[in-house]
Amino acid sequence: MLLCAVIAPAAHSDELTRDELNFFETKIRPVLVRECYGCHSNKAGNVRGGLRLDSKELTHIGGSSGPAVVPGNPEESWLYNAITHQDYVMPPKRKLPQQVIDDFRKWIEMGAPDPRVTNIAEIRSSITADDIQQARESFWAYQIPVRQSLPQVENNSWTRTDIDRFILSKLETSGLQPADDAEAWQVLRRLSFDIVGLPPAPEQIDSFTAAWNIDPDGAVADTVDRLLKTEQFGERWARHWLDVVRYAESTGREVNMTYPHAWRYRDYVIDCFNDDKPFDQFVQEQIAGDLLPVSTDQQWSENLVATSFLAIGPKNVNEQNRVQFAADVADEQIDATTRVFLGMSVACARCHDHKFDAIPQADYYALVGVFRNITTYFGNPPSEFGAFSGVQSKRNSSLIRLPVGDPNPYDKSYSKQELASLKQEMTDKLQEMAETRRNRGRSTGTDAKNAQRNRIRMNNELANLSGQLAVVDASGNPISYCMGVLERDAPANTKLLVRGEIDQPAQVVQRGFPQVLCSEPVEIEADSSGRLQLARWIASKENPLTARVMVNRIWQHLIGQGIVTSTENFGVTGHLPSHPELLDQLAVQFMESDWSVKTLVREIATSRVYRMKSTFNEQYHDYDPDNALVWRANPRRLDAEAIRDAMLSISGEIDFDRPRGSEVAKAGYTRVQGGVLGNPRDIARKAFERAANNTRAASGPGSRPQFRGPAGRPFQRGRRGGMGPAPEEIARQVTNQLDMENAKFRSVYLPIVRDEEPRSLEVFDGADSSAIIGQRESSNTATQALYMMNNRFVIQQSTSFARRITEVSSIPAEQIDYAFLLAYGRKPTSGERSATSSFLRAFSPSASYRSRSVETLAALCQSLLASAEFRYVN
Amino acid sequence: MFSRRQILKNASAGFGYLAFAGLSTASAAQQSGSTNPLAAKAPHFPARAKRVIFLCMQGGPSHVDSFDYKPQLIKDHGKGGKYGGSLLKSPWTFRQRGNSGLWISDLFPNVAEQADELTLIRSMQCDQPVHPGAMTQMHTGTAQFIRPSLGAWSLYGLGTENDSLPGFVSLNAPSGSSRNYGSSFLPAIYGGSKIGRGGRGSRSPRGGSGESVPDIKNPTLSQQQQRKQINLIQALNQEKVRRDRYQPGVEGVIESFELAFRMQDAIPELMDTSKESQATLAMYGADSGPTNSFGKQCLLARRFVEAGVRFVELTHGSWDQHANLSVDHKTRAEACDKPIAGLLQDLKQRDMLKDTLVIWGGEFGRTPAAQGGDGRNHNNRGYTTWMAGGGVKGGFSYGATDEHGYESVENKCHIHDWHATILHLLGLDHEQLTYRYAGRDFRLTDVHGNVANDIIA
Amino acid sequence: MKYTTPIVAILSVALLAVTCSAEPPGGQRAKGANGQRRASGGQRPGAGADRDPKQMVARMMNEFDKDGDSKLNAMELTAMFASMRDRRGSGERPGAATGRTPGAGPQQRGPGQSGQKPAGNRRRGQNGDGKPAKAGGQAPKRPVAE
Repeated sequence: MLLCAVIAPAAHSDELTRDELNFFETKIRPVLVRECYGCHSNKAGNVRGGLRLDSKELTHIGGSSGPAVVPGNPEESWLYNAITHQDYVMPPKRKLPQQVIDDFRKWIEMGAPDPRVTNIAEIRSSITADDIQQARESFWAYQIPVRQSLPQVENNSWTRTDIDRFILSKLETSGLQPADDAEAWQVLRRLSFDIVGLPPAPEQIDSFTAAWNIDPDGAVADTVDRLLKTEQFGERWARHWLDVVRYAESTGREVNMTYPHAWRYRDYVIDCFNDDKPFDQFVQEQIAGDLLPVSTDQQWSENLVATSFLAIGPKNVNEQNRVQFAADVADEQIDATTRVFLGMSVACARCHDHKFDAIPQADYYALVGVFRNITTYFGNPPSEFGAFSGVQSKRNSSLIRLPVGDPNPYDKSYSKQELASLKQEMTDKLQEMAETRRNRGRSTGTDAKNAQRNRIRMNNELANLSGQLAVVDASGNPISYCMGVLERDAPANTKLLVRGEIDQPAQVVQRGFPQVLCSEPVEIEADSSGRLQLARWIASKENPLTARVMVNRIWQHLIGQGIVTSTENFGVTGHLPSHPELLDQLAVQFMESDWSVKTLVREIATSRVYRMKSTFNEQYHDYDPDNALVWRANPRRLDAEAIRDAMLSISGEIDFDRPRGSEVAKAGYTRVQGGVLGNPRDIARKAFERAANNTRAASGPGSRPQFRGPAGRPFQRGRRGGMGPAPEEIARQVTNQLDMENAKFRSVYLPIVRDEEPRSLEVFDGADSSAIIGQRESSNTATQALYMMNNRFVIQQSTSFARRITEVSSIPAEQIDYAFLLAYGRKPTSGERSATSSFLRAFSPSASYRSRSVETLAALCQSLLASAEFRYVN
Repeated sequence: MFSRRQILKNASAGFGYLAFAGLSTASAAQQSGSTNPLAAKAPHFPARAKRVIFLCMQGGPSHVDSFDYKPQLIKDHGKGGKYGGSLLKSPWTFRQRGNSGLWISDLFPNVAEQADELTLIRSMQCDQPVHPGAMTQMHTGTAQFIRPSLGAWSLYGLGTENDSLPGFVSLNAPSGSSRNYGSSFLPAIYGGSKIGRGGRGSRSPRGGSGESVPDIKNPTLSQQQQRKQINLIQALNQEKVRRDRYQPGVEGVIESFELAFRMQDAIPELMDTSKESQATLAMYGADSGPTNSFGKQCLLARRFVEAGVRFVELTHGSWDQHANLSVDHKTRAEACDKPIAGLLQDLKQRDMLKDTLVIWGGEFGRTPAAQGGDGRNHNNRGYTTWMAGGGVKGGFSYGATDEHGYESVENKCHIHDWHATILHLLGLDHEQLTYRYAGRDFRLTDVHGNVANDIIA
Repeated sequence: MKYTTPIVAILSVALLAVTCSAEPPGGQRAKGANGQRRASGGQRPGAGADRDPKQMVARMMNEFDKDGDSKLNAMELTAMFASMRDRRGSGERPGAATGRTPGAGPQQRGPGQSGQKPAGNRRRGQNGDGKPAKAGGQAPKRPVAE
């Protein structure tokens, strides 16, 4: 698909008055040509500092420091800064005559009129209106879903719900039979993991099996209802959502700054799922929560938190060019919004027409018009002294103040004196800074270098102090913030950019929505960005995609793969639905049930399809290797969170309380470096103190698991001949912060710092937090084996698991039974029983007799956890 | 979620090595006695290369600034480019190098000294203009589907020489790139193992002794104890496989435990470079300065292949300079130029270069036209990769792009051709190295690919 | 306190170990977003190529980063502790060679200086829309009542 560009060559000076043009041509251009083009133009082939000064657009865009010229504002114009020898010295080695400098000042103040414009009049797309019309009318995903008539089936006695009829009908057409029901304990295990992400307890297995034997349908329905009422449901299903929305608590990329308030969004999502907030409401809150009408401040607060959805994407905060940065942020927001909710890859049309779908480049810029009129909040607010960006973090941003205060217990507050002294320190440092600035011109050589270093050090200190002051109010109490977006005043349209390049603007595009989904062009008021409208439009029953996409996701999490396997792509290159009528039916029901997620979960989980066995059938597999027809249940490997939570649950150590905030919140706004958050010295000191406390707290044997030192001699953790913990241990703890090996809460609450995800999640294919992940990978690696064999967390959980068993029985046969019941939900087979019995006998730990049985049992428990069966739900 | 689909013609234990049914070589019969899917196998025909070191330059280094000399680009600097924009000549000077007279720029002065070992493939092409797609295509042959990676295919075809190590190692792989070293429908044991944590921030490994591979050692158990534990685990796993009759995931688990157990000793030994001489470290630049990090990785790569690992991939980047090219490309190059040259030298000295194929390249190149003054956009229509050792000619230039470097015009080498050639050097016929999956025979090159015979010495 | 010696070692080492960013990391161009990633060039290689702490750290890294992954793992960190403790007496610093400049600095130059802009010392915080950001964060405008 080619683009036609119509280029009208330069010198459209119709906006400039004669005087302005004259001024420019006589006083400005010659200077630029003579003094600047040598290093800052295309002709010369030099672009020092990323700055070109040979066109109006490029001059306004500027270089690595910022815009060379801000019309009307010499103070903000880096060109002016440089020629007056403030932060830069231009031309190098000399200063322009004062008259020239004054001319430039005057020129900027008059608005910097500049005729050096290349007008590209219009980019024409090769996707015609007819193309779009055709796609709109004929492509399956763009038709509003309609209620279907239930298909006829032969085996009426098998079906229980409508879902079963749709599935069975297709199976019968292909001559296949659905698999038998799974065993009761298998069904319960599946339900437990799917709905709450935890294994069932032995008592639950017993009562379920008893109920199942009387009335399987009732047993399943009761269990589903019970599980849906728990808070663990929200924790499990929120994590699926967080995968999709690229939830993370840091910017990622080369300069990784924290998002200390991202956790509010996480909790918001968990609560939404637990409250079964109508999905259409959920959608609107995330896209335009700041604009939705509210009746209470609390609601307003929640809605604001919801807009974190738009703010938590990865960001390149050391992007030097602010225009580029803004374009990238908007791009990321558009990409997330369209792929998460609509399964459309509109962001592919940033540089050219979409190559496959009927989405012209103009559609992308229509959405840019909607998204550029917001301010995104993801950083740290300035203090009264201003904002200080770090050396690397060039792109600043503030935060939104929450209407309802909700500080963390660990947020810092200051007394009046502390506050005053901080401010004093700030003022003093600023003074110091100003003085060194003044002295700068006079120093040379190593003095200059020292001065440079000092300036940087001082700047960092200023940034720190300012950061601390910024987040407390006048009385020194912490302010509550959230990330998110707010609407800007005076919304404007944007220009289409040729090939997506910021210095190649073409025609202006009206704010709007993708045409292929709108039978009429959408009308957006002049004083509105259109974002609220977009939110409502996406969350409406008239949108053909939204319900289908979400229904598909819910199906995927219960059945193992989506009806449409390409969960973020419902376009031409996506996969067709395996059961289009079923998808439509579920979509309609979803919308009519007030967009209730729990209702749909219940519907699927109580179906006959859901409780099939996963038995392999070679013939069926030949015919349908992907199980698209759902002739059996899909055996699935558990995701990382479920594996960790299951270990904690089985060991009995799991803590169901929601931890407040997150590790990232505790660390505050800081750079992530070396795998730690914030000042490594503080972290080292705290780790040391913790280790010292452990030493003091360590009591007799049996209160703590004993570990062996590398030399094989036993030593109690935390003590080493009275000299304090070993350096290895301290070093380990210093870098332990983000793995949180000792945490006992549910995995959804682990800190998700981009590029530093906790090991327990990473090793089992945790979602890449910088990407929109609809479906996780499921790998099998030696790394996983090593983790299960050697990781401290696993070993420690195994030991607790063993202790739990010893509290129930001390007879090996019973212990084995109980271990299997806890770990796998069933009794061992005879083969397994004999293998484990011989293991218990043969395994000879070298600990003292008293702990021998626990150690052996722990090793057994670890083996059960490490084996494949623990990771798979059949 | 992908379950590996394998149609079992001879459904017995269902172990992954039955996949060899797809390997049509005379020596397949020899393999039937072996139960280790990683055991070394003979190639289809005599191989020129026994192992591969793939230096993946993530982000797309600019070919017109490094290995694709375009005098016309210098002359036409500032003029309009064929596909828009204005042409930007290279800030670096090209010179002729070595006896062969290959033109290589000053961006890679040390590698340039090894010009007589290199074959430049200056007519590369791929189909994807964006990073994820192009990286995936570079590694797996396609961006549309999930397919096994080049390393996995190599391993499938040849096994590995050292069964205590993974046969395919990705050192410091960027995060989220599992697909690029994954095995997809091939048995899981052929997938790449990540070692080190490149692309992610620095995280200290866990495990009692804090080695470079996390959890490489058990803090409490002796080796005999651990072996007993693993025996139990495997017994449970075996029973499960028998029960389920078809469960590729569990087979993967079984294989992974055996490998993991052996890795515990083999890996720390490999990662310990303390016995390397100072001269060696200096040669790689692994002792100081900006070359320290990549230098150490190249050194490790040599150690790994020396120890018998079949396919080692290193990643270095990002080369994605849409802006600030003249500065940032230089920084990237400085960090890897000496190490790569050192690697070639070291291999030569150990007489390993002749059967070690070293591959260098990014997922695409960059446009001859400027982007914003001092940057270049992606260019997948024409770019350069090079190879050294393992049977390729030295000091040789293959293929050409147009006068500015936009697209390949002569002896085009699409990714499929590139893959076919690499497999060929390893002694594998890309059309015969197939695997039956979902009803048909799949191969790395799908239905494409021609070996670039001209580059073979 | 008995722990003083290790504390000092740890603090200084931890400082060095973590402020070390001698090498730009492998560079994670963002994945995942289907659209074009407009990643502009990599990071500038640090303002101030010859900053002393950076140099020190670079020396540390060179000496103790054995596996070349640009990080110091627990083992390497421990070795550094030990080395620092040993050298404390002789007053040397590990890896204390004469000033080697790690890496190349950026090209831009003002005369007489190393030409760096003052590391973002601009005190105008902006929200990216050119408007100055409010101290203490942005109070949102209340939407209409329901």
